[in-house]
Amino acid sequence: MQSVAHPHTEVQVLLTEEANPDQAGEVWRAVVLQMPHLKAEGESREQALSAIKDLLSQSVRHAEVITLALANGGDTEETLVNAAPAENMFEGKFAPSINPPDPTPSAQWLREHSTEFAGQYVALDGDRLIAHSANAAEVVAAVRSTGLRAVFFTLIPPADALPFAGF
Amino acid sequence: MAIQLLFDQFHRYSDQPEDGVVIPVSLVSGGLLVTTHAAVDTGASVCLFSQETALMLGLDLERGVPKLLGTLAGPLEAFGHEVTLEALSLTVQSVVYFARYPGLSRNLLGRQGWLRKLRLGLVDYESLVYLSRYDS
Repeated sequence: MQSVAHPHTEVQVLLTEEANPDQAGEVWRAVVLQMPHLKAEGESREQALSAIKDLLSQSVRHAEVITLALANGGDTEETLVNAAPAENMFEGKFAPSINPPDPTPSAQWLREHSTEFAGQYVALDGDRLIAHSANAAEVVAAVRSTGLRAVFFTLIPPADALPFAGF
Repeated sequence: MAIQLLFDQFHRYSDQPEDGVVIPVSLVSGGLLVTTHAAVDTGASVCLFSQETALMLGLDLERGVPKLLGTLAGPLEAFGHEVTLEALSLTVQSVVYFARYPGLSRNLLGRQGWLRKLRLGLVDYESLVYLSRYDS
């Protein structure tokens, strides 16, 4: 078994060589420790590494991590991975509903209070004001302190905001 | 020749001209859900949200995919993150961009990652936007 770790890298991969129950010989397995659902295998260490790189490239979130560190017999080897996101991730794919809260109460609150809070960020839970400030970080901190996992959050334009004509 | 398009749903947006075609949109990442407003922008090549929205979503902004966007006011630095986005009951998992610097006044729903997945109808006179999946 090869344990893979490196203090300066963002991805740790566990590479193991095990007997293949289906075939004679060995099989190499690679697991991204931080993302254990990412598993790959191959007939050689290189195949397992290549397969895990393919998996990393399937998602932009995984592409945030670009360095694989591998250890082999005590020698540490680093392999830079060009984990470019898969093109289809940029185009998007349909997904199951995330069941967001009904935005109607928040929209109604905004209509009734936009003058009062003009120029401020507001966080709402339905029609309940959680926090407001011209400093977004203060609003975020206030929301975090409540433990809420879902909020309505927006900037109410200042009263003197100019008509929008594109960025 | 008359052409008929069918849509699954419609939404009535604000009839104030300065508001734009703004609809509610929810973003999910890492177990946090943020609902906000975004303007439907057929002229935007990507979806763009404010840095503050990324902050509320708990994203490590600059670990996303960097992208320089062209705007009327000059280049705008942004970072792409994979999120799940739901607007008017249509849910897409895709990459949207977040401005590097605070103060973006308006979130945009653009083509890549959203509009290209949809069939869109607009009757601005009535403040109505019609939507369907492109393949429905």
